[in-house]
Order: sequence, then C-alpha cells, then structure tokens
Amino acid sequence: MDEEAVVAEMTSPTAASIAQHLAERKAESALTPDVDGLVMGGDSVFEFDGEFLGKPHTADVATKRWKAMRGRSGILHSGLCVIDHTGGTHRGSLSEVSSAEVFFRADVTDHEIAAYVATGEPLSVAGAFTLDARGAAFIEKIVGDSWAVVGMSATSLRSLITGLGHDYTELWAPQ
Amino acid sequence: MVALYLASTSPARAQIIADIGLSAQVLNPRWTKKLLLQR
Repeated sequence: MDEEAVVAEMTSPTAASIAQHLAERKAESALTPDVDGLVMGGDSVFEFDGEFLGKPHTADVATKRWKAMRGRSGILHSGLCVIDHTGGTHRGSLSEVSSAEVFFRADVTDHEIAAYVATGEPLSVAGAFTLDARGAAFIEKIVGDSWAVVGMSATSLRSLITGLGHDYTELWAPQ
Repeated sequence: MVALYLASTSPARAQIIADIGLSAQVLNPRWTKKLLLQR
C-alpha cells in the first residue's frame, strides 16, 4: 500500500478527506489478530495555494515552499482514526479531521529559511514547518485547533475514544 | 485497562501521546512512504 495509490482511488479528494482517509488506512493496515486494544492512525496534509502538500523530503523543495509561504497562510488538516480492536476483533471505528489555519511571518529572511532548512527539521513534516520546535519562531498565529498543527488532535482523540464507548480517563498512564 | 496502539512511524505523534498522559505501543503501518500528494 502506498499513499499515492490510496489517494488515486479517491473520487474528488480534498485535503481534509485525504488526511482522514489516509489515517483510516494506516490504522487498518496495522491490524493483526494479536492486537487487543484501541488502534490509532493519523495523517496530516497541508493545503496551500490550491495544492495538497505532504513532506518536502528535500532541501530544495522545502526552501521553495518557505519562500512561497512567508507572509501568507495555509491550512493544516490532521486526520485521526481510532479502531476498537479489543479482544482481537474489529468492533467499530471512528475518524475525524481537525484543521487549523497557519499564518507565516512575512519578515522571515532568505538567510533564516536557509538556516532552518539546513537543520533538516522541515524536511520530514507536512507543510515543511513545525509549531513545536524551531519553526515556531516563524509562525505569526494559528486559527483553529492548534493540536492539528502538531499532528494529532488530543480533542479529537478523546472524542473518538469516548464515541467508541470507552472511558478516556481510564487510558491515562499511571503517574 | 484497554491497551492503546499507535499505527505510525512518526516520532512526533508518539511524543504527543506521551505529552497528553497516554501510553501506546507503536505499530508499524504496512505502508510505503512516498513523497505526497502534489495534485
């Protein structure tokens, strides 16, 4: 299974529907009979200028994206799927997408972009930026679910787990 | 207690799970990583 093939099967995909669909497929692809519990899958897609962007992977792509993004905004969509596989049986699943609009500072210089890309940090994240690391300094503001920008919405996770009939607080790790 | 599994190769998502007070076993999705979605 690969992401391009999965997306190619979709009719009229949007950035949000792609993120949700890939999250569902990732969770499903990890199921085996010996998995006994709740299985989470997530995926993020950045929508900018009419394009749906994943990880840039290369320094050239990341640099071009940053030069296009500074002073503008895009929407980060994070899909999340939870499958109830307790007892090793597929008992149900729920998924949803959370989104946030990310505004990039206009005064980010070419030097800063080059330095940021050289760290390698933006190469492996959807949209070529991070909110919880070096990239935070180049972001003006977030409108929407900020957890979506980090890659997984805690609010969505609680909602999905509760919707599947489980007590979210019982899943907290012992202190 | 119900076990949690995270089907992801993303360290960031695993970190989020820890940050919000949960503990999950990471499963590798049977997934081929490719450059995404420029459509």
